[in-house]
Amino acid sequence: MPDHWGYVFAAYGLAAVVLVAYWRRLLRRDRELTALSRRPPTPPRGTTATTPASTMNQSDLEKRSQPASVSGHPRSKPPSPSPLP
Amino acid sequence: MLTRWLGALAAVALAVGLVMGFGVAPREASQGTVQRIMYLHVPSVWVAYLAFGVVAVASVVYLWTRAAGADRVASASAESGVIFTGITIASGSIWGKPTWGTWWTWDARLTTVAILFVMYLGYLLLRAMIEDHERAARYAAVLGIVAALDIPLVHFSVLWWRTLHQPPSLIKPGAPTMPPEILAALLVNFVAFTLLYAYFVAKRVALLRREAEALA
Repeated sequence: MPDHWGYVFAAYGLAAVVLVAYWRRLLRRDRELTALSRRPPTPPRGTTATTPASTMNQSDLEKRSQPASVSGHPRSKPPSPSPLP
Repeated sequence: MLTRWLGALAAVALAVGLVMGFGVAPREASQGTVQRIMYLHVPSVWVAYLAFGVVAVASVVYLWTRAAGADRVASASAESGVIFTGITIASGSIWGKPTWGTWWTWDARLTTVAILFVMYLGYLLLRAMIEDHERAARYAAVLGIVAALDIPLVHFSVLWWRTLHQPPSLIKPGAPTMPPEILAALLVNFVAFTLLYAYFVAKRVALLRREAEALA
């Protein structure tokens, strides 16, 4: 039988690609988990703001005391202010 | 640390395996160079058997003790098993084209391996689909035990039925009949692939533990 080096390289090449891809996926997940563990923990929703008022400057405080600007799609008023009978 | 050592050992063993398979082992007389695919194909299927055997044992341990560690070992081993089964099917198909004249045939060995592959793909899908972790682990453990029943069917299919696939040359009753250089190359690749499997499982188990800690 003649030598079929193309088939041999195809088999080994395919196996190498699959194994290296899986190995890289494991390493990427490792890096992601390491980055996640280094990140400071975020406070749960509903608690106080992360920036205390004492550390804010005057312009920040003024901005926060103003009413929120209406942008996007403001909610329309109901057609009838009184409840239906 | 142990995982790194396992990875380094596996890399060295794979390099030695390649040298043995391409440099030391002689060219096979009837098939020619294409027979060298055997040093990839046979160790891959050995690791697939090992991986799914580990899944079955770890699943039994999980159902018995409800230890999360056993579930993580089963999950990690199933992932590696699917990868090595995929490599077995692909390399066998590439080997089959020049020797049998076809990429695929529905004979007993190939069909049982395809069933094994699909069952463990289903195992991984089942784990991913169920959000409740405890329930996913329990269902997967049952499937992992049931699917392992296909392993002896795969291995002995070439003895029980008439197939195009050759009978086993190594894992069979009696002494191996292959020349010592070919046998040595094959055994080195068995060790290399087993080390690679151990590295993948150790790494994946560590990642699964960290993921569980991050979610807690």
